[in-house]
Amino acid sequence: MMPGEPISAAETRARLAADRARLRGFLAARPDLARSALWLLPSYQAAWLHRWSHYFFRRGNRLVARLLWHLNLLLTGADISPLTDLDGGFVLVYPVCTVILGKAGRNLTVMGHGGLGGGMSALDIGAGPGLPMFGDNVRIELGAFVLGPVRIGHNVVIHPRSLVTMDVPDGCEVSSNPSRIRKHPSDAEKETM
Amino acid sequence: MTAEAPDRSYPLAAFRHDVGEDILAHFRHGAAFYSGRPGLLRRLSILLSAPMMCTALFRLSHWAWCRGHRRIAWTLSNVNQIIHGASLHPASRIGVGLYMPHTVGIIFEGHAGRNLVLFASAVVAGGERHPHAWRGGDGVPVLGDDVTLGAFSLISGSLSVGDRVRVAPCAVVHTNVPADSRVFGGSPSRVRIPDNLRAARAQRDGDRDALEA
Repeated sequence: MMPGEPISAAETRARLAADRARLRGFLAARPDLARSALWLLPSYQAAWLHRWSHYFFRRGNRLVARLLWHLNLLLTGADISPLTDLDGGFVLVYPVCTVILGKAGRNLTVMGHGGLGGGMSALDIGAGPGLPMFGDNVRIELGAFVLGPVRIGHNVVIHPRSLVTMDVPDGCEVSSNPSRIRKHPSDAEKETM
Repeated sequence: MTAEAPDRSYPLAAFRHDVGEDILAHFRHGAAFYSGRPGLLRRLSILLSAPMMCTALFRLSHWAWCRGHRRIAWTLSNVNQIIHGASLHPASRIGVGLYMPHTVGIIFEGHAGRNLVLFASAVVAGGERHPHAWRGGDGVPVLGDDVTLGAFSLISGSLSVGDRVRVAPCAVVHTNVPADSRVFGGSPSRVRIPDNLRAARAQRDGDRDALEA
């Protein structure tokens, strides 16, 4: 895939500042932690490494972009491809086992353990071949997947462990099958015996 | 259910005690592979195994957190994540006997009692409104004793899970779970045979029937 227009360092810094502001909002309950050790949080490490990886990718310096991408995968466990274009305010809460590929608007929240990406077809709707496109203020819960060239609108919430392969209009919530709880008295008897 | 008050003190003696008990729990769970009683060499070999090193590193990061060394605690947690692929919040209080046979993808942010078993990629995380909110247990799950979480299961939100609960693989839990219950996954898989395969199989079986007749 060809990189788009080069992105300026100022724009990258502005997006990172928006990421920091949103992460601080998440950390509001722990102001001491938010002030002193933000760079120790895997969430911020992943955002920082991806922003500069994307910056170098758009500048055409693919080797540095790739090195930062691999460093991100090594340090935080998040596989965020350099071609992923995320606007400001991106928060990845638990970076382990997360794959992010596509294009998103402002304030994307990915809880982790799942991801966005392709693999369904090669259709390009503006995010890249077979990759999804997101509006603003989308929240993707733990373990949810958005796959294929689909358009996700603004203010969408995708619930845990759901699989989305279709377009989602603005303001919708996508949910999966809930689990069932069953009482097993036989187990309790076994424990007491 | 361990209804202990939020105790900030975690002396080094408690760390050593917990790690010793974890080694015994690993021995119990691996009883099919081991024989006899756990001698010094056996304990050392268990301590040096990857799941046990992950557990010990988590306990060490929790010790640093309780001592007030937040940066050291986060660094140890990050090192643990880099080496073992498990993201364990250093403030989590987990009772003795923690057993994680396959550490990759585990996320733990909450409190648990004794003998917790986490299989691969099990997730225990804070609610959607307060991720990383750490206010004395508010906003994160609290698990009882002898809880087993299957692979890829997910518990998220400010909720409590009772004693001896077993959560099936791929189950998603968003409500309180009473003691002695089991949680099953939401969507069981179905097996379908593609039409071309079905036709080929029917033809093959027909040929066999014709031969046998």
